[in-house]
Amino acid sequence: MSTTVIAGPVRRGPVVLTARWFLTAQLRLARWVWGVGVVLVAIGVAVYGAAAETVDASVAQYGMQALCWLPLSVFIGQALGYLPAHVASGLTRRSLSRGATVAAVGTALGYGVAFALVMLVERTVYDVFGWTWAVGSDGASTASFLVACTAAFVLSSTAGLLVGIIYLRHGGWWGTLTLPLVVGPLVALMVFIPIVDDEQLFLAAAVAVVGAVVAAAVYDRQVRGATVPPKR
Amino acid sequence: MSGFGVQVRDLTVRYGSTTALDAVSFDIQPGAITGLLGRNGSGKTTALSVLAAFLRKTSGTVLVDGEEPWENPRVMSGTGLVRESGDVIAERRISETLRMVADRRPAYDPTLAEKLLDMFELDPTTRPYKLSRGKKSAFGVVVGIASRTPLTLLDEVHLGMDAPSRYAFYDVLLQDWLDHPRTIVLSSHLINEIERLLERVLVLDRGSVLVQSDADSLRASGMTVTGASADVEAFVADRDVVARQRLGSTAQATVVGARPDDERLARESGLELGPVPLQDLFVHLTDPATEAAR
Repeated sequence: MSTTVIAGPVRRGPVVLTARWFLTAQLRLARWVWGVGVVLVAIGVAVYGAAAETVDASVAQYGMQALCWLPLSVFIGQALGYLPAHVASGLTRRSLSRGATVAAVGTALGYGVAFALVMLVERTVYDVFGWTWAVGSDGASTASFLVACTAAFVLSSTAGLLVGIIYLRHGGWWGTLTLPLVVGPLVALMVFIPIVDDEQLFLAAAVAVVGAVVAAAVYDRQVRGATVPPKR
Repeated sequence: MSGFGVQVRDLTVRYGSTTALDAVSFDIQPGAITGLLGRNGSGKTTALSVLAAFLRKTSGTVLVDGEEPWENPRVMSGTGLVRESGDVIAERRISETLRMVADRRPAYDPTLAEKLLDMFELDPTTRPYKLSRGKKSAFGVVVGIASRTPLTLLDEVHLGMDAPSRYAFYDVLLQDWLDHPRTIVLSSHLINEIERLLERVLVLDRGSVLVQSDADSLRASGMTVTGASADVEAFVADRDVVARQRLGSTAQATVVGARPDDERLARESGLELGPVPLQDLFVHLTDPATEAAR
């Protein structure tokens, strides 16, 4: 007697399946983040316009920090909780590492694009009211500011994966001790991006990208050797 | 025969200073239902976890369908381990998890999954963290059976399930195995309940293989003797008795070891000989006193 194989739906590759799983959770968060964020920016712009003598800076730019921390925290949770389900569904750790990294970069780029769109709308509103719209320091252009922010988002997402897998593999003590090492550079970027000029913004972006590559590489190594923890 | 076969040679797994499996060797026959039995801490879950690439061996050889399972896409795709209530994302709806399984398991049967959800009264819109213990286990069973992986490993999946649900699970597992043969390894402490499903038995004890046999041979290694108490006691006087029961003037004893003239002597004494329950044999085999005598 032979096994009858019932053809299921068209199967995508394991990396695509994994990336889609991670991105689904990120999209659910993004709906809330951007929905609430846009409302807060609108309120902020209204209050700024009503209360200040001169309006000469973007309100939306101050959302950069939140846009770094939120995906980071979700990726920590996903990296911590998803490994057992992934392996139990028959996929390799290699596909997990690749799929998660694709999702992290995709989320960051998506946040970068959305951030740019919100700023574009904000600038249009400023133009209508005759206000001056600007981001970052005096020597910073919008393009370089957005590039640096997007690079920071990439670093925060990949750092989230790394922190999560360290918690999973090495426990709470090591995860918490490693947190400053991983998140420290991100905090430094958040401090510097609003206050530096164009040249330094591109440098900050380069540092963020290098940091993201390192984080992704270490995450990959950690995932490849990870054991599925016992059931509790 | 369909299904993955397994060959394990000198498998050792250590967690720090603890040795969970100590140079064990065993085979799992392709296409058969094998019972993996053992006391708590005997190494059953560790063995299953290695086969499913949940954890890495310390040393030895593990071949699933002829290849090492660790990070092997083909073997991992065809091996499904369900530990208790399964490894699912508790916050995602049941329907989402089943869609995920459908994407990743080539032989997954959505019609069977739907039938099993109905049978266990599971609402596909529910999230697993809201389910009772037994319902969570039932969901694990749905995933395990509907995935139809060539090597299906079910580790204590019955936990928390009520008796009707457990028997429904056994029936549907057996029927689906008959319709779609594959290799199934069933680990359970409810030996009396799963006994009828088993073709082969593998008993682990303290990280070593105690017994590896087909179920019928194992059962034939002993027998139950039933009849009048005095006659039963006389029959088993010089035998290795592993269990005794008495009801009024009738007694039943379970003995290990058969002799050529057993049937004649039993007939002469008006005694009835029957097969030995696997559970009684298991308790006897894993009894520290038996081990010491060995």
